[in-house]
Amino acid sequence: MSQRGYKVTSIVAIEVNLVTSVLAVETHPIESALLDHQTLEVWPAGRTLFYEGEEPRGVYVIHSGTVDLIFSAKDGRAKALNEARAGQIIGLSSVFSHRPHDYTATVHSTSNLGFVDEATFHQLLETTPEMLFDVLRLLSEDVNACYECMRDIALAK
Amino acid sequence: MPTPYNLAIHNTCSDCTVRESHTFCNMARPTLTAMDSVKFTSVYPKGSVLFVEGEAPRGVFVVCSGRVKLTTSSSEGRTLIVRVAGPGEVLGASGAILGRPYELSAETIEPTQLNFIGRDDFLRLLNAHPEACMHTAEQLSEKYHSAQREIRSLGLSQTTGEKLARLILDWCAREGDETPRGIRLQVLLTHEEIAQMIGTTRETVTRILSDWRRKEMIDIKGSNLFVRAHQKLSDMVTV
Repeated sequence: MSQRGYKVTSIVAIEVNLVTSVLAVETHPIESALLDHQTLEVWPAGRTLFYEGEEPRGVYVIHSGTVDLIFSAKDGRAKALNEARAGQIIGLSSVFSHRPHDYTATVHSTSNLGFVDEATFHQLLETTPEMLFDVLRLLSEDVNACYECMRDIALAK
Repeated sequence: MPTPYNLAIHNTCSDCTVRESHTFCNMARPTLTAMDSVKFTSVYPKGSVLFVEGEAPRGVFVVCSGRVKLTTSSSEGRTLIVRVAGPGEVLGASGAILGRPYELSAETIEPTQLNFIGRDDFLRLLNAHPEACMHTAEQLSEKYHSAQREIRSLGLSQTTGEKLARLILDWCAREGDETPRGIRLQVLLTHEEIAQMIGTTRETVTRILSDWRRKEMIDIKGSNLFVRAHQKLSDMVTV
């Protein structure tokens, strides 16, 4: 089933509200490029997008819902120390620098996610050079979110 | 010719002899020439504040030599040292790119040479030179992964001793020198600053270091810290 030109693989008919999606209301080159090439799917709570240490396969655009970023210790303890929300792209840094994921990403509440595979992402970067500045912008957002998370963990008392 | 603080001053990026070892600066000559035309080089003494958390972004600082501590504070005034930046790092990039206040404060912890590029010039450089854009993205990506490692350590370490052991092991891996007395680290941070790197108090850091010294796991001579029992420290780390 296809909606608005997007490839949809889920057997569930997806009603992504593009009006409320951050990616749809902004007009940056990366957002329109990713919107045109993503595979949309509804992910139920508890399903894992990727595991810590796994090689990146692509980026996930969150249209709605939340995703827990879970870190684990050598002894098997695991804890959700951060979360990603609508408007964020998960896995961007790992795909950009082709490094294993730092955390396990598990859906916290039912989420509408768009997936763009790694090869397509890099191809888009080559064919749409303007996208590179948007990658900078998104990475900057991600870095700032990490600092906020560190502040919350270390200084919240 | 004598230079301030005996630093090897690099006046132009295009002729810099150490740029090949620096992630951001290792760019083609046209990009470096463009950077030379917009940057201002200065040498700062220890303790100079470059920018403050919450301040409007004026531009970016590229570290040529020396070290800078990056901190964030809680509303109660507690401070966390997020990391210590070294040569080749660009400071303040996310604020400058997003046009939002700096997320961190930056202060030199030793005499440091920095190149300052104003925000408008930096954005023009990024737009005109994709290579500068790519190198900045690589730096941001590296900072992201490094921040995730810190989040893991802060959130999953079970004891303060474990956090301190991991910090010291990180230093060993990055800048430790093998000596007959153990792995030598030059620690320019005070116990208070070490405490701020792992979210604890100065007293706790002093107590743990004294304990490790008594057990001959480490030795301290001036600003040099010798790690004598690397394996024991490794065994303490669970994250």
